[in-house]
Amino acid sequence: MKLEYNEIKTIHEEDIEFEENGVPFTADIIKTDYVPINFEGTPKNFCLRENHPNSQYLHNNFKSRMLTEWLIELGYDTEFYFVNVETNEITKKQISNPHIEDVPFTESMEI
Amino acid sequence: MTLPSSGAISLSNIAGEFGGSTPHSMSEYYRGGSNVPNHGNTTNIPTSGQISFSNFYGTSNTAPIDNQISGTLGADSPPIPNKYNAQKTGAAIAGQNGINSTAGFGSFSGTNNTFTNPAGTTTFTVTSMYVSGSDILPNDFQTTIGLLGNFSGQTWNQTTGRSTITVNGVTKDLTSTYNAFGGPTTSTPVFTVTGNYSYLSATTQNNNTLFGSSGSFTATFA
Repeated sequence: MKLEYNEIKTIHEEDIEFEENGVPFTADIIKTDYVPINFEGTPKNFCLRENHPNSQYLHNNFKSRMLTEWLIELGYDTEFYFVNVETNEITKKQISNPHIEDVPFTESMEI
Repeated sequence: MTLPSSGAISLSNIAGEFGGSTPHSMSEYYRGGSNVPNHGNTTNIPTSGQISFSNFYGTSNTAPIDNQISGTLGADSPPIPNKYNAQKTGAAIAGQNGINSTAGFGSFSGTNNTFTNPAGTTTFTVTSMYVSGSDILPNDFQTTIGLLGNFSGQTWNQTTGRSTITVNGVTKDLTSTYNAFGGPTTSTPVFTVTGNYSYLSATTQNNNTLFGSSGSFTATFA
């Protein structure tokens, strides 16, 4: 299943004060709402000021957390499932079983 | 870019710099929590307990850009007998120094074993850093770097945004590797994950200078 959602950006607050090298400047706070389309999940949002130097990194981090929260809301066990952040597909983890892999191969012989 | 160093600070200021979901709450903004990274530009923010707006004066989500680590050089114990003069020098934490060796040698400074990518958005902890080689292939020594975390399949540049390491003046390229045993002449090395760390090895043709086996070191990532 692919988690589909709308991503809506709005100005949350205008002209908030920050500094760069001691020089004050103002920036708007941008709120990004993530609203589920094809599944029952709670809407999420993330706020950050415009033109933040780490914007992509911080949004990616938030999306990763958000997808995991939705996975849990949908009743999946995160020990066995994860959401692929590239495709948004719910994916089953490949879990190797060392107990099976460690069993040596033996040939059967007719008695 | 930082939060103001004086005057009024609001939750909107803090969310604007560190990110966060509405409705905002101060409890979202402990250092080391989900929104506030732990680095030199957030040291005034508490990790728990009482937290106030004044803790955020002059703080920034962006880490101080750091491209150096330091420590003491050492040498791995050679095989016995050491017929081909195998050598491995640099520093490595026991059990985290890549293939074929589990012992530690040299050491990393407890307070300076991390560096950041050029943007200061990601911090890396170094677990090993050494050059190895022998008389069998005297002009094809190998440089190995280990980092805490899973970077499996990624190149050095993709992971760190950097290309080379220079230890006490000895520079090694970590973005391409020479194949001394045939196959493509050069390729791009990628990290292999094992346990809680990843390591990457690069062989440079005709660059058999070791990192040194004793004394203090400063390593610079460029």
